[in-house]
Amino acid sequence: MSKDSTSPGWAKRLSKRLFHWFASESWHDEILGDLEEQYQDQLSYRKKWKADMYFLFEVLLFIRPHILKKKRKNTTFMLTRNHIKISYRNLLKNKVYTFINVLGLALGLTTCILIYLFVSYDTSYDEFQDKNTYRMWINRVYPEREVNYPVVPHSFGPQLVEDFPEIEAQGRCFKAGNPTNVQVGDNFYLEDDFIFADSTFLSILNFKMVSGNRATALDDANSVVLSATTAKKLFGNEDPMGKTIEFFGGSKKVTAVIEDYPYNSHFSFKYLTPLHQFPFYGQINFVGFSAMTYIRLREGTDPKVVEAKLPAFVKKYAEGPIQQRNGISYDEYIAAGNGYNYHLHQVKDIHLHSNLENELKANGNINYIYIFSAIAVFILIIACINFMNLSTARSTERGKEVGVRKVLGSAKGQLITQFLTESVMLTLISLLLALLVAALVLPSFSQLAERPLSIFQLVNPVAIGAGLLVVLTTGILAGLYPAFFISSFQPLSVLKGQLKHSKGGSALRNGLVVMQFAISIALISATLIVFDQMDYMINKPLGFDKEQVVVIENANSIDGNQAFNLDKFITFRNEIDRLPGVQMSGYTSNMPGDQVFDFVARVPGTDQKESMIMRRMFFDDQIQQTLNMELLEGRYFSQSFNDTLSIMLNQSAVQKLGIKDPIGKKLLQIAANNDPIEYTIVGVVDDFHFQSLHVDLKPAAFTYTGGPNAIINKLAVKTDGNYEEALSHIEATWNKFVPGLPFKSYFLDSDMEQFYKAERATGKIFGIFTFLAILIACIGVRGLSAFIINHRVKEIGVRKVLGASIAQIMVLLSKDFVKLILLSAVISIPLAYYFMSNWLDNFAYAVEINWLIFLLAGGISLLIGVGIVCFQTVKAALANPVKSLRDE
Amino acid sequence: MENLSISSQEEVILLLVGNLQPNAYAYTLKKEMQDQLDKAVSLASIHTVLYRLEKYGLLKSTMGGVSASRGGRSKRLYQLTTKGFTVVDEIRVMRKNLWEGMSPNQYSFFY
Repeated sequence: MSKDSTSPGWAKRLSKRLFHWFASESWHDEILGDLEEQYQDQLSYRKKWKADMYFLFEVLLFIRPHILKKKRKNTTFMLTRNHIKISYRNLLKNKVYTFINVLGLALGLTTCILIYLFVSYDTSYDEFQDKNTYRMWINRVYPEREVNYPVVPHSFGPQLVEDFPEIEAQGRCFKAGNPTNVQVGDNFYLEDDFIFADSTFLSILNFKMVSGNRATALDDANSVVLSATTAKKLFGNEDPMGKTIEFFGGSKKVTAVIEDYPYNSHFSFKYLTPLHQFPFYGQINFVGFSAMTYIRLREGTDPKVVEAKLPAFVKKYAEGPIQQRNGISYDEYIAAGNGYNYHLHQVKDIHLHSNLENELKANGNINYIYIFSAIAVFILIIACINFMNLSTARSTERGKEVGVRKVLGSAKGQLITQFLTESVMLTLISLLLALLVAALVLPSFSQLAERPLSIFQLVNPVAIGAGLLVVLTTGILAGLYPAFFISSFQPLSVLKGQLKHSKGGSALRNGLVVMQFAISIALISATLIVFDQMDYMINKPLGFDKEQVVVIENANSIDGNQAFNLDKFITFRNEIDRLPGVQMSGYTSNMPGDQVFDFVARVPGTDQKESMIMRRMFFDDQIQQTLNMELLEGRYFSQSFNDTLSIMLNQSAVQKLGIKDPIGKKLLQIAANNDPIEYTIVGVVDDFHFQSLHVDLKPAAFTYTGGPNAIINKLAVKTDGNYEEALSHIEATWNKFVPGLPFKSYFLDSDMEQFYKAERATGKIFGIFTFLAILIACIGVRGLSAFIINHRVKEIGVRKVLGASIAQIMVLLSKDFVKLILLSAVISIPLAYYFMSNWLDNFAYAVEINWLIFLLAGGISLLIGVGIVCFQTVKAALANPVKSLRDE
Repeated sequence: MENLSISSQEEVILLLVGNLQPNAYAYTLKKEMQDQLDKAVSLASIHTVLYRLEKYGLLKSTMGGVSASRGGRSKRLYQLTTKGFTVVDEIRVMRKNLWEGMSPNQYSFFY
C-alpha cells in the first residue's frame, strides 16, 4: 500500500479504511485496483487534493448492498431470521397451544375493536356542527313532577336575537307527528320526517346544499326542501328544482335539495318546509312549548353567561301571559312549586349528554358508553394477561432448548431476542386475526347496534397507535418473563430439568382466575337481568289488549284531507266492522305508544294554581271496547248521547284531581289563548299504559272525536286472529273509499315492542360480550389448568401408585379452582346487584332482581370452569404413572 | 431469451465490453464511456451493472493483469458470453427492423 508514488492524502487514507470496513473481502482487489488506477491517472491532470476527494466520492458511491460485507448477516440479521424460523417451528409444534393462545388474544382484541367502533361512533354525533351552535331546552317543574323538553315557546328565538347582542342568529323547527300523504303528479307517497323550519334554519345547522340557495330556500311559505334521497324517490333522475308536490292540502314548490343528513346526528329530515305557513307561529307565544330553538352565539361568548340572563328574560316576557292564564301573579305561581328553567346545550352534547322527552331521534346514553368502555378494558386486560400467563407457562417447558442453546454458546441477549420475537410474532398474528374477525362480524354487529359502523373508523392515529401499543406491550411483557427468567439459569441445571417455579407467580395466576370469573359472573347476571326485564315489559298486562289488533296508521286520510268530517269516518268504520274476521274497530288520535298531547285542566271552584297537566287523547265511541279497556264508572262515549263536551278520565286523573263521585261533575280545560272549555265527566276507565313502561302512569283525559278541536289519526281494528285475511279485506275497503291513497298499517303488539328496542339491542350486545368474556375466561382456565397439572404430573403419578382413584385425583386438582370461582362469585355478585338495580331504576315498572339469577350465573361459571379443569385432569389421571415417574 | 429485458445502460456496457475485449474491466469501461459516449459515470455504478450482468449470465470474468499503477492489485476482466452476444445482437436486429419501417414524416415529427 505504501508503494504509491506520492504519499496519499487524508481523504484517500480515510476512504480506503472506510472501504475496508464496509466492503466484502472478495471485492477489495478489483475495486481498490480500479480506484487506484483511476487515482494515478487523475494525478496527471488534477491537483492532488482533488484526486483525493474524488477517491473519497467514488468510495462512498460503493456503499451498495452487493458490495457490503456479508458478515453482518451472521449476527443480527441472520439471528432474527433464525428466530422467526425457530418461533414458527415452535408454534407449529404446539398447534393446540398456539391456537388457543392466539384465539384468546384475538377474541379480546376483536371485542375491543367492536366496542371501540361503537363508542367512537356514538361520540361522533354532531361533531360536524358549528361549536357555537346551541339548542334551548327547558326543565319544566310542576308541583308534582318535572319534565325536560327540547321544545320551547316559539317567540323566544327571534326575541333572543333582538335582546342579546351576543346571539348572532337563531333557527326554529318542529317535527310533524304523523305520516302524511305526498302527491307528485298522480302518485301518492306516505311520508314521514317532515320538519317545519325557519328560513334561517339552513344556516344554523350544518346542511350541505346540493342545489338551491341556503339563504332563501325557505322564504316562501309554499316552498319545500328535499333531502337527496327523497328527491330521487319522488323525481327519479329528473331535476326536482322548481317542481311542485302536494301535501297538507297545498302545493309546494321544491326550492332546494340537500344532501341526506348524516346518521350520526340528533337531527334528521326528509322534507323541510317553512314554519311560517302556520299563522300560529306568527302569534306571540312565550308560554306554550312549540318549537325547537337553535341559537348561534358570537365567537368567544360564554354560554353560561347567556344562560344566566335567561331567567330575567323569561320573566320579562312570560310573566304577563302566565298571570293571565292562571289568575295569580307570576311570583305566586313559581312559589307554588312551578318553574320554567331554560338552558342551553351544545348541539354535539345532545346525543349523549341530554335525556329529554320528545326528541327528534332516540338519544344515546353516556352511561352505556362508559359501561361498554369498561367492559372493553376489562376484557382486554384479561386477554392480555391470559396471553402472558400462557406464554410464560409454556416457556418453562423449553428449558432444555435454552440449555442446549447456552451450551452451544448462545449469549443471553440472543435468548432474550428469541423469546421476544416469538411472543411479539404471536401478538401481531392475533391482531391481524382480530381485525379480520371484526371486519367479518361487523355487518351483523352494526345491525344489532343499529348504527352504520365501518371498520375504517379504525383508520386514525389514536386507534392505530393504541392498538399497536397494546399489542406490542403485551408481546414484550409476555416474552420478558421467560426471556429473563429462563435465560438466567445455569445451563447445567436447566438440562438436568431442575427448573424451579416461582411461588410469587401462583398468587398472580390465582388473582387472574378470580378476576376473569368475577367479570364473567357479573356479565352473565347482567345479561339475564336485562332479558328478564325485557320479558317482563313485553308480557306485563297493560290495561288493554294489544293482541290481534291491526292499526291503520293513516286513517286520517279517510276524509281525503278535507275539512274534518266525522260522518265520513263513521261510514268507513261501519264498513270495516262488517268485514269477515273483524270484531270491532275504533278511532283515536293516539294509539298507545304515540306521543300524547298535554291537557291542562282544573275542577271549577278550585284555586287557579290547582290546575293540573294531564295527557289527552280523542276517542270515538268504540275504541275502548275495541281495545278492551275496563270501564270503572259511568259509561263510554256513545252516539246516542250528545258527547261533544263529555270527557272521560283515567283513575289516576280522578285521584290526582281529588274528585269524589266524578260522574256528572264538571272539568275546565285551560287553554293558552282561549277561554276555558267546560267538560262534563261521563266515565272513568281503569289506568292503562299508553306510554312505555319506562315512565309512570300519568293522569289522562279522553274527549270525544266529535268534540272541539277533535283529531283522528288512527283506526284500531280488533281481528279474529286471522290477520292476513282481515287485512286484505280492510285494504280492499280502503281502496274503495280513498282510491290511490297509500294504505299503511301495523300490528299493535309488535309496535309496542319497539319501545324497548334500545334495551333489546343493549341486551343483545351485552349477551355477545358476555359470551366472549366467558370464552376468554375458558381459554385462560384451560391454559392455567394445563400448566398446573403439568407441574403436578409426578405428584399424580405417586398418588396413583399409592392407590388414589381417578375421582380422588380429579377432586384434588379441581378443588383449588372451585375455591377461586366461589371467591369471584362473592366479589362480583354485590357489584352486579348494585349496577343492575341502578339500571332498573330507569324503568318505572321493573322486575325484582331474582336471586336465582346470581345462583344461575355462578353455577354456569362453576360448571364451565370445573368442566374444563376436569377434562384436563382426566387425561393426567388416566395416564400410566410409570411414564410420568420415569422421566428423569 | 425473450423474457430477459435489459436497460439501455446495460446494453451500452455489454457493447463496450465487446469493444474492449480482452482488456475490459471497470476502469477502462469508465474511460470509454467518457471518451466515446461523453458520459460521466461512477466506478460504483459500472461495477453494479457488471455485477448484475454477470449474474444474468451475459458476462463472464477472470482475474488477472496486476500492474504497479494499480497498487499491485489485480483486475476483474470481463468477456461477453454467447448469451450476452445474442442479447445485444437481438436488440440490434430489432432496432434495425424498426428503423427500416420508420417513415421520414414520423422521423421529422420527433425533431
